[in-house]
Amino acid sequence: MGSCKGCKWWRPDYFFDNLGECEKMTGIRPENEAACEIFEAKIETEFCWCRDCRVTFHASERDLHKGHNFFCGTRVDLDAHEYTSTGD
Amino acid sequence: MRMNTRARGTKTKMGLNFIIGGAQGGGIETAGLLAVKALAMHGLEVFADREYHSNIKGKHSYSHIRASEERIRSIKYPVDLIGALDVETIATHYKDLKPGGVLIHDAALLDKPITKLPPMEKERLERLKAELEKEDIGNTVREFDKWLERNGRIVLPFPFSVIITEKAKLASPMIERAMNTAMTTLLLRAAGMPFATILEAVDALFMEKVEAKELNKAVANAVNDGFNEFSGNRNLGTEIIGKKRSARGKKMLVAGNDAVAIGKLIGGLRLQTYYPITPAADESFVIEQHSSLFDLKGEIVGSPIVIQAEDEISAICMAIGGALTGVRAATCTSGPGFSLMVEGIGWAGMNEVPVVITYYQRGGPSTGLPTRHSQSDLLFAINSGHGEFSRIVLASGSHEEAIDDAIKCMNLAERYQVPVIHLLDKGIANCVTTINPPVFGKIERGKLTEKGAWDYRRFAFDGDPVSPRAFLGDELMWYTGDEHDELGHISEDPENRRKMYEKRMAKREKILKEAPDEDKAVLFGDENFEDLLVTWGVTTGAAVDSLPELQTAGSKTAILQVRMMEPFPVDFVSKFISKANRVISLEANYIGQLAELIGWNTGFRIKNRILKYTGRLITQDEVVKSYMRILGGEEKIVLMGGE
Ligand SMILES: [Zn+2]
Ligand SMILES: [Zn+2]
Repeated sequence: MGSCKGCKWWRPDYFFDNLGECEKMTGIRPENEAACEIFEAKIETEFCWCRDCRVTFHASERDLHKGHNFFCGTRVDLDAHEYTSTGD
Repeated sequence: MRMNTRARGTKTKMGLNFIIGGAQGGGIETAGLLAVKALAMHGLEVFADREYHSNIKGKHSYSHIRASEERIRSIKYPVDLIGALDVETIATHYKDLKPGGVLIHDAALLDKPITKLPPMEKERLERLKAELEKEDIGNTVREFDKWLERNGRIVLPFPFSVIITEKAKLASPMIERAMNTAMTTLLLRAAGMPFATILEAVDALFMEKVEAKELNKAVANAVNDGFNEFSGNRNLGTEIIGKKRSARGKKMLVAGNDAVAIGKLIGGLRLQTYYPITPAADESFVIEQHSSLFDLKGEIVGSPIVIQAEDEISAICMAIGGALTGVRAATCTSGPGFSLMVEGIGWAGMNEVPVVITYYQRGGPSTGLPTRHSQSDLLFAINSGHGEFSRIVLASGSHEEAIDDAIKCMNLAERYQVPVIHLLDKGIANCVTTINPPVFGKIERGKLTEKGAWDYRRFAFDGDPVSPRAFLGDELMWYTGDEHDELGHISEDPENRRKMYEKRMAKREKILKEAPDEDKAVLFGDENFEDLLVTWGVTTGAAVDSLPELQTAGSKTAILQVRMMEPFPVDFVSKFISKANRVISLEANYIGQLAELIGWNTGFRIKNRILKYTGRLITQDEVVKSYMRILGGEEKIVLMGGE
């Protein structure tokens, strides 16, 4: 078995992407933590998160992200609006 | 790049100068605020520039913070320390680090490629790649660090991620804020700040948010333990901050938006209208948070109303309406919003309405650079609107001035019954600095009529261009956008037209005659100067901070900060200009708008111009270097510093 990074439940943080959380558990953990009993290898779904490009891409755009690190989703801090400057 | 490999000690009496950078939305604001709070609590004077992208998520964003035992009003390169929360910060700012300076980043970044930077702008990435290739640096952060160390910088990869997941046992999903607290703690510890002060600042920053506070304290504690372990066997040589200063009277920590809000509240503002726009909206939010004002006995003395209008046309018109009913009314905006307000300002000019427009300049035209600095709307503020009418344009050059001027602008509006534009810039709006608490100035409501006056004429010709004012509902009066007679009724009679026109325009002379010198322009430095730098707005700070260096570099040098832009204090400014051997303008726009304005009014053409229009602040070191270049014979200099 691999590490959390290779699991379909792994959600890397949008900004600090060596950290993240498991869709099935609470708490922040590093991506290289040894996988647990619910580990399932990640698969390319219709929409994937590309860590290298920091975008969510559709299966039809797969060629644009060849060789990149993909995940089944990403996590964002839901309170980010509290401390983010905006520009408009 | 040719880097200076001679590592000098970072010990200096002048204080601390550093950058914390990361991705927009990644909590970088928290890092900057925490650092600034801690430095202020340590008894230091602080000046911090916040540079952020108008794209909300992911783009590079940073705080450039300076602290000193003496007052500082600008930023300066190079810096003593850089805290990089992501690879892009390293790649963007490594050139800003002085020899002997310290770069701190998460050890987890070490194996990341330095050129795989999705949010980085194309042009910048190309420049970086070329640099790496030329110097044969390699492609990972680890290799880049080694190159920096070979060039005399100290690199400290610190296990932030490990601390956050293991030591602080981060259970709640707050990676962003935790990471920023961790970085700030380490930066300040590396700079010699006692840990107790950092904890105090965490307390102050997360005041009511108990969960976030406890978590961030745990993170800070873990970083501090790690730092103590680390510094036990390695000397960073960065003891910059020193002992906590004893109390020197109360200080306030404000952004320019806060400063204007404070001034408006002290000055008796009762109606603020706005449509949200960068970098002005925060001012209205601050006023909104103080919906009740108390006197010293704790009694409510008033409640300002803040209205978010549907657009800026509506905002200016509502403010005008409020002013006509007798309350002190103002609106605030930046360039795009001001463009919409122009028709309303003309109406206020025609109808002699005391309304204040707080105008924060940002990079234009159109939406331009929404979150970036600019001083390119000076001529627009002065000339906006068709026809001719009296107005006042007063430009503040510091946060302290911004408070005083906010009060002053309301007094001036009512005293002369004209629209008053309080001109500021993104630099003042968003930079955070320590100031002395404001002085509660006088509220002057100008000439008012006695209630129940028989035969009230709103625009009475009685020798004074300012007629006694009555509030809507108290007397009978008429307002239209058209030319009018004394009562306010439409009139196209040529004689009335001339008299009414001249009454409105005569206010300009009256304003200039009565304005105190310090509202017109301020001279810094030797009165017997030979070289004179003329400047305005936030740029004044960089000029004033560099004055000691300028004086050793050149001949006798002084700085003239122009404050009243309209009506222009021709005689007062001419007095200084005419005595100078050399006049140099220093401002953040392309044509040298202040230089042009001085030219139109005094007939004196300023040849030497130091200009910047990248959207970044003019820095202290840039003023010094460009002044030297002018002494060397260059006429016009365009500045490019800052990321
Ligand atoms: Zn797992
Ligand atoms: Zn990709």
